[in-house]
Amino acid sequence: MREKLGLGDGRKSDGAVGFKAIPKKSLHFASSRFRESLMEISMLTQENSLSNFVDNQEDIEILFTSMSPSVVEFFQNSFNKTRFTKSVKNLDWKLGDTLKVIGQDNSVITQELADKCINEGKPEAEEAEDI
Amino acid sequence: MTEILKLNWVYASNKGKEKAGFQDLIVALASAPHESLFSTELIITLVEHFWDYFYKRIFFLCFCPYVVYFCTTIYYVSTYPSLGILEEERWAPTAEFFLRWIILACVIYFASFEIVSIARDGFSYFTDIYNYFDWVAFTLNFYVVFSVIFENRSEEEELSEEELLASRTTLNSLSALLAFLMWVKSFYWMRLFSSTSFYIRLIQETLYDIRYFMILFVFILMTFGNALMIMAQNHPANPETPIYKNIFGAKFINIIMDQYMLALGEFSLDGY
Repeated sequence: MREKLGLGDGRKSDGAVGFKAIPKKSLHFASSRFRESLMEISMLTQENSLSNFVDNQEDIEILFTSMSPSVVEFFQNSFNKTRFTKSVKNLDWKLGDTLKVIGQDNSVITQELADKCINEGKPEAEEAEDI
Repeated sequence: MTEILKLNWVYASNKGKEKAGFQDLIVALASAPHESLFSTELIITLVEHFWDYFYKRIFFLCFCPYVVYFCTTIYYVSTYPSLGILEEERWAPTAEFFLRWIILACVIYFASFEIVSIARDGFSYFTDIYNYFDWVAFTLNFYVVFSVIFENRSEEEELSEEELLASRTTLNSLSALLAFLMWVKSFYWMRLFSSTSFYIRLIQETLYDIRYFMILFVFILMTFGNALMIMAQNHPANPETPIYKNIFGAKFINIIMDQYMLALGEFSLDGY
């Protein structure tokens, strides 16, 4: 019933039940100019993230079907930096690797944990002769 | 550089569904109209995240059964349709007997995936040419197995190998088409591995990009081919040294093939 009345699914995502922030509402506007402008403004901030605009997969499908340079740029910059991510400075990357996705249920990451993840559980990088 | 991406939106209920997940996201990505989407960092990250999980499932539940299906079908169509089996061996526990049931089980297994895809995609399912290849392959599999089982010769019938082959030309041709489709499909499966998927993509993109050149190429072949085809009518018919070989039984296609081979460098000038 809540969803039928446009009150969301009951999760408190933006402060209060039933309240929806303008960036999220802008996805459903007839004109894409509003959301693109909001995306460009959002990208100038440090708190910019995908979840500022997207609530569920239906929302992201709207972005998939209406790709524009602003949306592409938003997809390139839709990640957050926190004090935890900033604490990770240098990693022992394997030769040829450029990206490693670490899936976990919390946002805490440390240098040691990140090193372990990119070296598949090994605490240190492989020796040069083993590569 | 380390960054964070919240994924709670992937699992949030939507479109009346209580539970959503990466399966739904894959469907949304597959129907996304813009290819540039897949080069964005967000999509690369999302795909990396769920690919580890789905790769294992696709490998064991789809690729491994396909390898069995492919190997049994290729062996079956290369061995049995041309000579058939004896009527007395129809239900005997021979290699053919076991292979036929493996093939039929595999066909039903893979057809069930296609039926799920039809239910999910609706009309758009019919816009992908590879889906037609699948259904033609399934149908041919049933036809070839059925023909091998029931179009038998008995031990009393004494036919020479030539007579036997002549009586099964249609079945052989359909088996050849089936083998071709199986190889095409296995080519498609190579997209599963990152080391080979690059080349599959490269070939597909290259063929697509040269499509206009290919139209011109066929025109060039026909420019010379058509003239040669008419000129060949002046040439006294000599089956041993024809100007162009009769491969397909149709003049126009024969001459395109002849000119194509000539373009590749096969200069057979005996007929001139």
